[in-house]
Amino acid sequence: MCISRHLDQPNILPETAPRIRLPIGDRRGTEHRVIAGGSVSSRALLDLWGDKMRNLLIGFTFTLAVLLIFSDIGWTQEVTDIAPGPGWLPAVRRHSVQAQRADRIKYKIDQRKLDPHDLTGMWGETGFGLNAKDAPSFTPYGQQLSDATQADISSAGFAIDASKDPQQMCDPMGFPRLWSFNYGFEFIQLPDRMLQVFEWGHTFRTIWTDGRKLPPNPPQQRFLGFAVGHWEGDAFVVESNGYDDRTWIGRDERKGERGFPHSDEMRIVERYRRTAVDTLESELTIYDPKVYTAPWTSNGRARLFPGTEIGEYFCVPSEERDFQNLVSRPAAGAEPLK
Amino acid sequence: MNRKYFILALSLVGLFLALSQTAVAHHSTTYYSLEPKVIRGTVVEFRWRNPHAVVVWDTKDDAGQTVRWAGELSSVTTLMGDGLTKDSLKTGDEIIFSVRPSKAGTPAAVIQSMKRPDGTFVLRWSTQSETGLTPEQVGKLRVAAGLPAEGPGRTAPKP
Repeated sequence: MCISRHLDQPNILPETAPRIRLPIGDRRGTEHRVIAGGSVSSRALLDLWGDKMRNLLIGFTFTLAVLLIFSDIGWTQEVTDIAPGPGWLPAVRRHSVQAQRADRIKYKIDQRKLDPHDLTGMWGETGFGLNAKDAPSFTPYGQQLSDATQADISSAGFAIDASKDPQQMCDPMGFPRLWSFNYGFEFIQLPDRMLQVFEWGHTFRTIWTDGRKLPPNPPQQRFLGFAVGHWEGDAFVVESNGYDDRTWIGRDERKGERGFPHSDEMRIVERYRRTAVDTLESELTIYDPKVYTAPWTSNGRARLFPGTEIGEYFCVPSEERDFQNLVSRPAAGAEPLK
Repeated sequence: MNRKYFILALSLVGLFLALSQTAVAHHSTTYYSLEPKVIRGTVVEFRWRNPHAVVVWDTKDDAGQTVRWAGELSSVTTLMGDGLTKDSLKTGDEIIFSVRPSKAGTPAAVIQSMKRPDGTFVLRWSTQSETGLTPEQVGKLRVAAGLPAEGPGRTAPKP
C-alpha cells in the first residue's frame, strides 16, 4: 500500500485504505507484568490497571497513529486558502484540508458514479513524483551529460543550486519533469485532444487523440514534446517524442546537486487510469538508450481537487534573478549575478 | 507475538511511514542553518513575487548598527494556501521573524514564521523552510516552533 501517496491528500481516506478493527476487550493471553524496579504501591496500581484499561490505551495509541497518518490534526485550524472573490475558486496548490472536506460533500464525490474514461478535473497538487531511487545507470554518454549538471560551488563552499538547473533559471520545466512536479494540473477532455493544463509555469500540453501518429523525425525539439493518446481498456495511454534535451528529467541528489539529463531521442509512454472518482493513477516510462542503460518507470497517484481552479504560477525569470541576488546567492556566499 | 506488542509495533511502523518523506520544492536550502534564530525587525519591502516571495527588513545588531536582512518564502499560490495575500505585510510593520539564517553568516535567511508584537501570526509556518530537509529535521524544527511534527507540504515530490 502506498501510504506516502495518501499523505499528499491526508483528509480523504481512499477506498482502498485498510479497515482496522481494534482489539478491545480481548483478555486471552494477557499478563500482569510489573515494571522492573517498581515499588509495592506502583505494583498495586498496575494490578488495578486491568486489561480493559490497557487495551483502551493500546487502542488509543493506535487510533492516534492512524489519525496522524491520514489527517492533519493540529494543523487544520492554521491553513486558510484565499479565493479571489465570490464565484472564484482558490488555486489547487495547497487547498486547505477543511475546504477539501467541504468540497467532497459539496461536489458529491462519494455519490458520483465512476466513469473511467472521463479524466476531466483538477488533479493535485504536487505531481506524481519521480522514482529517482530506481534510476537506471548511465551510458558513457549519459555520464558525461550528468557530470555537466553538477552545480557550481561558491567561494564559501556551498552548491549554488541555480547555477546549472534550467528550471532554477525559470526556463520551461519541460516534460516529464512537469509530470513529477507540477503544483496540480487540469485535464480538459475534448473530442480530438486532451489538454493538460499545469499550474506550474501556467502552461498547457496537447495530447492529440484524433488518430495521428507521432512525427517519425520531429523537425523541432519541444520542451513538452509531441504527444498522442489512445485508450486501452480503462487506461489512457500517451506516447510522446521530440523533446528538447536542455531540460532535466528531475533533480539527481545521489552525488551532490545534479540533474537527470536526457537526449533529444527520449521517448515516453504514460498510462493514466482513473481508479476512483477522486483518484488518478499514472505510470510513466522513459526510453532513452543514448543516456540510460534501461527503461525507467515511475508510478504515482493524484487526488481530485474539486472546488479549485488553476491559479497563475509563472516562474518569472526577472523575479528569480532578483530573488537570487537578494537572498539565495548571499545565503550561499556567492557573488550576485551581473 | 502478544497482540498488544504487535499493535504497538504496527503503530510505530505507521508513524515511521508517516514521517518517511523528504520535503523538496523549487530549490535547495542546504546553505541555511538548522539552528533557528529569532529577529525582530521593521519591514522595508514585501516582494509578493514568483517563484519566491521575499521580505526585506531592518534590524539592529548588538553594536546598534542597522542590518538589512532578506528572507525567502515560497511562491504566491502556495502562500495564499497559507492564508497570505499581497496586503499581509506593509512597509514599517514591526515583525518578529523566526528564520534559519545562512551558514555563510550573511544576513539572508529562509523564513519559518512571522508574527506581530501582539503575538498575532502573519504566517504560522512556512513550508519553504522545510525544503531539502529530512522528515526528522523538519519535525524537530516544527516541534521547536510549537507545532505538530507533521503538516502540509512535507510530501512535495522532487521537481
